Amino acid sequence: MITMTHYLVFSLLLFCISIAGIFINRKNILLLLMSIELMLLSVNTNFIVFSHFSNDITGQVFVFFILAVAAAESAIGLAIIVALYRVKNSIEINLINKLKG
Amino acid sequence: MELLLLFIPLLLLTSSLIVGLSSNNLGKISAGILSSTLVFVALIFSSIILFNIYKHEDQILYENFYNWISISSLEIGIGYLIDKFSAVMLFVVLLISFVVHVYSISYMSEEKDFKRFFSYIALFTFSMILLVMSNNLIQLFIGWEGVGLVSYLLIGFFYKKESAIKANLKAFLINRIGDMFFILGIAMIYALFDSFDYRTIFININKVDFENLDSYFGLSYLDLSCLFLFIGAMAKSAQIPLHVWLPDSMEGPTPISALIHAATMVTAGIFMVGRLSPLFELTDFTNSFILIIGSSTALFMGLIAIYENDIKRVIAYSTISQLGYMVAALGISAYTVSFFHLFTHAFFKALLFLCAGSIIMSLHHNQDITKMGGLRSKLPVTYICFLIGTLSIIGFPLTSGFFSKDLILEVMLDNNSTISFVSYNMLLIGALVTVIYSLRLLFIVFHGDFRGGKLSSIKEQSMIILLPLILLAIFSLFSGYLIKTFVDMPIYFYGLKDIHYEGMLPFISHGILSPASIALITGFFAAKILYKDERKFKMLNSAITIKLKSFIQTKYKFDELFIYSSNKTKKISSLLASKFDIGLIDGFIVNGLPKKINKLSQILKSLSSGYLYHYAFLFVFSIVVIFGIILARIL
Amino acid sequence: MISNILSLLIWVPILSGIILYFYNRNEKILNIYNVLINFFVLALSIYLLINFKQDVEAFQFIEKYNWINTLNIQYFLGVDGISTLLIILNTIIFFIVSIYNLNLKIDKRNQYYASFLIANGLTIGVFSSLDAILFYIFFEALLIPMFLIIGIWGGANRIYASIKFFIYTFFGSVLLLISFLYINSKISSFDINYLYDANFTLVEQEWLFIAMAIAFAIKIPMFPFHTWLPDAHVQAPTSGSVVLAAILLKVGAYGFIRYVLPVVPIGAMSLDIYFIILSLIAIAYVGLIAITQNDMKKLIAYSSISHMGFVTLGFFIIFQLFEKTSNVDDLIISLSGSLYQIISHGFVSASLFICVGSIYDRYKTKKISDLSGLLNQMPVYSWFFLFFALANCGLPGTSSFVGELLIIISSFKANFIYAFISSSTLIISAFYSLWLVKRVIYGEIKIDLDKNIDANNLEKLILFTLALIIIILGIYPDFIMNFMNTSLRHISETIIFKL
Repeated sequence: MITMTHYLVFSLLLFCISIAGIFINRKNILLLLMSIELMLLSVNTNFIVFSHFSNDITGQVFVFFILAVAAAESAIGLAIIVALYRVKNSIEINLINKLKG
Repeated sequence: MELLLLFIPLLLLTSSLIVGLSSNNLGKISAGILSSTLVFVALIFSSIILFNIYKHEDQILYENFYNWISISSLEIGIGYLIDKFSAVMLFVVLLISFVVHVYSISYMSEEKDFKRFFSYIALFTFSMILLVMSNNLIQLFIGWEGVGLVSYLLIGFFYKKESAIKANLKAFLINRIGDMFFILGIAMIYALFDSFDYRTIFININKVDFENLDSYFGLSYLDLSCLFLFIGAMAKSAQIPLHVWLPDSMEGPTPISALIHAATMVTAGIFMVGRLSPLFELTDFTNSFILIIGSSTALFMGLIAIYENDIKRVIAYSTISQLGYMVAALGISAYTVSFFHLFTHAFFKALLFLCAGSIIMSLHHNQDITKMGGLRSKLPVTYICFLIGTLSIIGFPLTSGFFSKDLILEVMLDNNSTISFVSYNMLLIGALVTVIYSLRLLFIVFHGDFRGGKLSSIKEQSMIILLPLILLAIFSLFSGYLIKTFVDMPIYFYGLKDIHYEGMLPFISHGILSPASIALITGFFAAKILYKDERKFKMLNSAITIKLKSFIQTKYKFDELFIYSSNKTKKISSLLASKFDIGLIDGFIVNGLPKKINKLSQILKSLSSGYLYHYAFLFVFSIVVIFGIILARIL
Repeated sequence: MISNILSLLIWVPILSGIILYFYNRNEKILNIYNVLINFFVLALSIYLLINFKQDVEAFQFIEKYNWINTLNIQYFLGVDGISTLLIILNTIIFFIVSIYNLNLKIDKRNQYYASFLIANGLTIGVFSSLDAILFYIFFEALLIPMFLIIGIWGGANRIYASIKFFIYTFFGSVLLLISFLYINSKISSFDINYLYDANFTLVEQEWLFIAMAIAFAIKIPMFPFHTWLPDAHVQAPTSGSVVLAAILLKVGAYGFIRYVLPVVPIGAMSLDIYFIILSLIAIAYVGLIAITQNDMKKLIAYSSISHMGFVTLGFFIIFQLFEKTSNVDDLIISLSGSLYQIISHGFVSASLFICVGSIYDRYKTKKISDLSGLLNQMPVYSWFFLFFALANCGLPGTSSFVGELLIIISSFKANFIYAFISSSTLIISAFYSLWLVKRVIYGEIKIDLDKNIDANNLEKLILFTLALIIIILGIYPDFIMNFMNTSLRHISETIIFKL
């Protein structure tokens, strides 16, 4: 029997992987974007799980919103990356530290 | 009368303002004549007042012209208190001032700043009159500072001369040391009587419970307040150790030396103590202090005069020494005796200075007596006047100095105490010293051979110079016969000291037979042998005398003391400025704090590397920590 | 009778300053406009002076409107004798400065003038506002034009000086605001009359006193908060220095007498000894430092601090006087001395800075070691300089003597040591003033500018006016004393009542 705990642990694992992806990855900014997507997915999983087990459809509706926003977000992110690449000829994260104090 | 008293200061102030602020339309000579006339009118007014005061017995004029400050209970006015004491002083000041005005018309005629000079001396006379007329301590202080200011301006009259501008700064600063104590003394008196007014103070003096007042440094309240007032007088009247400014003040024009630094301003200290004599009368310690200061000044400053070679400086040291006599007399409460010496001294010392001025003019601004000599034949009038002045100062019988100095010595001897006996002896030796240095000056300048080149070009000055000399010579000769007036003179309502005086003839005969005459005769022969005949003695070359001589020539190192302390002040000042103000407050706190904060932010800055994954890590890490803490708290 | 005269006094210069800020065409019109506005304000303040009733204890010319009801803040203006005198001082100085500025050759002339006009209005606001927050707003806003004047038209190191000036004062202001807010939280009002009636516990009073006293001590400035002043003076343009010395410092002193002593007297009483010691240090120590300064402006700045030490001494000895004699007259005498010193110092320091500024305009140096014998080249200037230097060392007949005299005699009644140390200023101030004169005015000329550079008619007029004011204040102090007397009695009685 697969209980809610299993789902939640799965979602947590997904979330941890994505976080690890953000700060272990030092090379490629695309991977960063993918990690963020993954993070959103893990959150979405949570929504679905809770919605299923509490018999409330609102959570699943909300997931669609999030998916839509995530799609828009990644589109903008990719556009920024392209623009960045045109300027700097590279998308390596190590080179992007303009915020250094 | 009241109107006359108002007019005297006003006349002088107008004179000062008109001459000082006038444009070039007013010529030199007319400016000189104008201000002399105004002083002369004031002199006439003052003699009317003097005459009136003496006509009515026990009359005291007292009034306020003007309320300077009135804040609730505090009232300070400008007014006058004229009794016999101040009426005489008023007359002396105006007389000397008038004489000097006239003299200066000729003496200063070459100067570019002729009018500035006249403006100054009128302003001086104004301040001095304010001081003399004063009916309260603040007015006294205003006049006191005023004369100090004009003295400062006049010593620095030749402002391009480095020595002159050094001397005037020195004079002002040393006077300010005195003033600091003076104002403290005034504050003490005010705290006691809640008034600055002489009359209120004198009336209430018997009501004060002196036993229950605070005492400071082991001195009673009144002792300390009078001591402070006297320190003010010490600076103004050039007493040891605050005398160092007076010899240097000779950098000013000579008429000034006569007016300010001999006859009037330097005697302001004596006048002040006399004016406040009801207070000084009640102090023991301060009186002894005054006596010691006065008699040591009289003796030791006289000694310096023997070795000086600048004609004006010799007279300056003799002034200090004579002021010492006056102060010593104050110390035994013989205020009017002291005032009598002030009176006669004003004439003969002004005379000596003006004669010196005449000599200096004739010798084209040479003041070195080693380059003079034999001037007797060339400057006969000046010689006679100088001789009269000298005879007066050495106390030659029947001249004015004889009366006043002998009276001081006798009163001193009559006062039965150890200190006054010691002082008596010091003053007696001082009298001998006076004879020696005065006659030395006379012999070196007027007798012997001329040592400064050609004698033929020297000639006597014009009548404008000589008339004042003659006038002063007459006063020097005869002013001593007023002795009775001074012996009987009350100050305010107090006839303070019972002075032993039996009439003119007994006094003269007694004076001639007194030890002072021995000093006179000894001094005369010593001076004659040493400086007229210029004989050399082996004894004078012995080790001890040479040592003594060089010791006296150092002037007891008082100058060095003041130079040292002023340099020390400057050093401390720059040290404090650099170490404390800029170093500690600015460097450590004001600029140091931002620097520390800067350093801290440098450390914190390294946390923000600009890499996204660092931020993300920090973010997650902090979340974990915070949740950890919350969990730990819950569990 | 003009109603709203105080509002006019405040807002006319501020608004015309703002207009001037945007107008920059004809220099001549600028000059005339600026002088006219300043003259108008001066005339208005003289009208205020004439219509002021000396023997009325309460505040006069009151304007009171609710401003922010929820926070109890009012637009509340009014004057008593003290503030009227300070307003007059203010308008006279600004008028003189506006005339002095005609001679200047500067960039952005319109904005320079505008800053002064705005400062003029704001200072009047400080002196006439009777609501604590309103006071605070003017007090703070006054920083802005001064900051601009120093920071834009100043000397080489102006940025450092202006920022130091700003941060120093701002630090104090925060404390001031906190204390006002605390008071409001207790009595729900910022109205000065309620402040005077309020009672706080000893601990509260001590904290409030410390916070407010530090704020005003920085502004006055008292030792050890004084180090911004020499820098600010050295860097500020001449007219800036004049305003800084003559007006800004007085704002701090005014704060003490209006908002500290009557509001928290018990706190002041329990801590007065520290402030007396600081005042005495300011008098003696800062005076000593002034002696060897090589920059004339710095020397005068230090002498200002030393003179302000007298003001604070006069403020803080009143408690000991009260303990010793319990006579209200003694308090009034001491406070009168302080206020007289404030007004007198306003004119004396202004004159000295104008003299130094003019020397700098000609010789391009303020260093004492570079100058000598100015009397040979510019006699008129030098005589005025000598006169002002003498006034600076408190010569009788000049205004500075009155204040110093009153404070010295009062301080003796409080304690012998206070009088002894404070009277040492007679020596110290003479030392620095006259040594300065000796080195700069007297002697042989060092830099020989081969032309006639003595004061022109405009400068002669300014210097003469200032000298005349100083002399009149010196020989007729009763004019000001009568003016202040009722107000000071009122304040003293408030203090005594609360003790």
